[in-house]
Amino acid sequence: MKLFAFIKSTIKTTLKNLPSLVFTFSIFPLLLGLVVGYFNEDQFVPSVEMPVMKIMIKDEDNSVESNNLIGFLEGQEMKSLVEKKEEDMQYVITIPKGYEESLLNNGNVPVEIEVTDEGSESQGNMLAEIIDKYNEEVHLNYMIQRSIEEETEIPEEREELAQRIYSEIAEMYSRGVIENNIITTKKSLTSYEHFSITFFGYMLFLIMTSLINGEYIARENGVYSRIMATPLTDVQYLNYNLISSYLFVVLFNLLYVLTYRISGLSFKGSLPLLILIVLIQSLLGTVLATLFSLILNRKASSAILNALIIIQLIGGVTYVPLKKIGDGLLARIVEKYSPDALIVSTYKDYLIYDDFNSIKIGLLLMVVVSLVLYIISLIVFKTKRGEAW
Amino acid sequence: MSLIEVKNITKRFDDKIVLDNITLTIDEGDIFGLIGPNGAGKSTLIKIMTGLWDSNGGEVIIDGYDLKKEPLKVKEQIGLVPQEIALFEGISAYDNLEFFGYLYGLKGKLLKERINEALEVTGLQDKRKEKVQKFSGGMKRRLNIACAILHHPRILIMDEPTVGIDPQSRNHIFEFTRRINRENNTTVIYTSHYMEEVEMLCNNVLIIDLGEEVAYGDKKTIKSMISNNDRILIEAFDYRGEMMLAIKSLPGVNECTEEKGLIKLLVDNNDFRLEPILKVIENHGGKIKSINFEEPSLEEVFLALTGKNLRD
Repeated sequence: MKLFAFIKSTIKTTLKNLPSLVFTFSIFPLLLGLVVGYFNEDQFVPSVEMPVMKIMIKDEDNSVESNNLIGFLEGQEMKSLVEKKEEDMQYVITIPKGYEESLLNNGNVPVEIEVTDEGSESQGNMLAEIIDKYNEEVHLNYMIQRSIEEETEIPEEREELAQRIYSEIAEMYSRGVIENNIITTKKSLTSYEHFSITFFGYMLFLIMTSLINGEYIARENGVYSRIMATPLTDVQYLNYNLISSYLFVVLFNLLYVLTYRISGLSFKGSLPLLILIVLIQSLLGTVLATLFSLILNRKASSAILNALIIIQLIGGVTYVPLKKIGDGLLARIVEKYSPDALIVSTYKDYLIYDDFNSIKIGLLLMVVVSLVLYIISLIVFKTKRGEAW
Repeated sequence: MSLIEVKNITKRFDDKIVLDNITLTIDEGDIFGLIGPNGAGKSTLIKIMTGLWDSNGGEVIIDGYDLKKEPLKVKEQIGLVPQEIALFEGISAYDNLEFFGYLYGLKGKLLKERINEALEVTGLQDKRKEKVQKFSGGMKRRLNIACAILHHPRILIMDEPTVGIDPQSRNHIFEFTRRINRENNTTVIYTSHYMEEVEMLCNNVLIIDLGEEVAYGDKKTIKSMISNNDRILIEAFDYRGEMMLAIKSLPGVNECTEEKGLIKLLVDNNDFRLEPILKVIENHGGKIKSINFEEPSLEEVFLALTGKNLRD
């Protein structure tokens, strides 16, 4: 019932102040994200509009298999990704002598890709991945075919088996699958996605500020003393306060991401994964706010949080211009050391890859950091027992 | 056995001693006054007695329970009215009461009954659904008290409960304090630096200053610590001649002054008798309108014992 009291009180306070809270924690950062996202739209490469790679192919093997590879690269499926050009080419693909033999025997095929001054290293890597994938599957196909021949001598059966395998391989090379591979390898965020994350970090710091101020007010106006004078242990107080604050944070974080999701501008991946990140990221924010309120006085925590907000905002808003300076080194530094780096990188991975594997490290780190911060908070709270406040 | 036993409580912040070996006992049903100027250590003592802070020495026993060993048993018996308006301003009076009721383990029908009772006792029934931030200072003070009495505590600790409120609300709080003490036999610890409040409400008193006990006991005993003199104010008229000189010569009369018909006497309790004075006034043709006896106030006691005023 005591936990219920904390939760009910938080819900009632939230409901009574809902309009101002929604404006501060949802509408305001959302509007900022939309406006800044709109004006920076052309600075970002939309994910679905990958630039076509201009290639030149040198066939030194001149075999059936090397011709098949060229046919694949020039085929209909690759048309939207690769364009064969003799001038202004970005990538030179060299099929070396012995390609067919290597491909059929050991599968280890040294196709070279040279990136010209006009090309991009990352797209060159993508191209290499596509060719590697092709070679791998052709080698596999060959091995299967050889096994079929050893398996049966009846031509009809061989034909039937071979047909089935070919159709499966053909399916593997369908445009969709390859595009997915490419997108998995390299997808850049839209401006709305980028700024939705930037202002999400900003919003989280605002919520943390609000929680910390709430805690200071409770101490100053005697509510904390009154609560602690009731039959409640230190640990109960810390936990109940943390849980009710956590629900508050989750509510507004969800409101923010779902508004973006419904508008179709960001957070469009798997809903369960999105909720999972929100739940864990909210935990980190809540525990961090609790620790701040325990170890810092009001002035110090306000100064630090404001500094963090400024650094975080500058990093997020200037990320694109910074990318153009010094081969993007500055942008990478800002990205790496931003106060919300862990949260930003997890949401970016979610937006780009949309699978659990790509975000699990980020989530795990957030859980571990939250746990460590919680233990420190517990120790500080039990040691201080409000006396230093 | 006393309901509350505070034994040799000492509290230090770094090297500074803020409470030095404080000892007191309070019987069940008493209204006990804790007096001292700002910074005397009253609130520190209360924080220690309610388990909010740890002491550096000594012990607090309440109804036989050691506060350090069984803090929750002790806290169940206490209702704390903090000096500050310790309320959630953004929600209603009812919601505040409900919150603290839950923390005291109340629920369901009983909780509703207790909330209604607390609102009735503090005269806030009509304001139950209003947000606290719309309340006047006096109403907030009353709600501050209501939140502390929901669980029918055996001990009610009121820390400066009348600071910054209007006379009407102040009277309401006095009436409430007497009523809860009389009807429920609730033991009340009342801290204030308004001496007249403590003087009016309390039976026993602890006066502290700079963390040390200045005086402790019932009011009469404390007052006798500084003087055996009482003041008598006699309102008389139509008297003639050398009446003042005649009164001054009576045994036990130490001082006698007169101003616009009001005769002020400072008398020694041991030697003084009223009858000869009345006789002298009558002999000089005087008519008596009123007679008032005055003891030294606690303010004067504090001044005499510490050399400074309480509200310096």
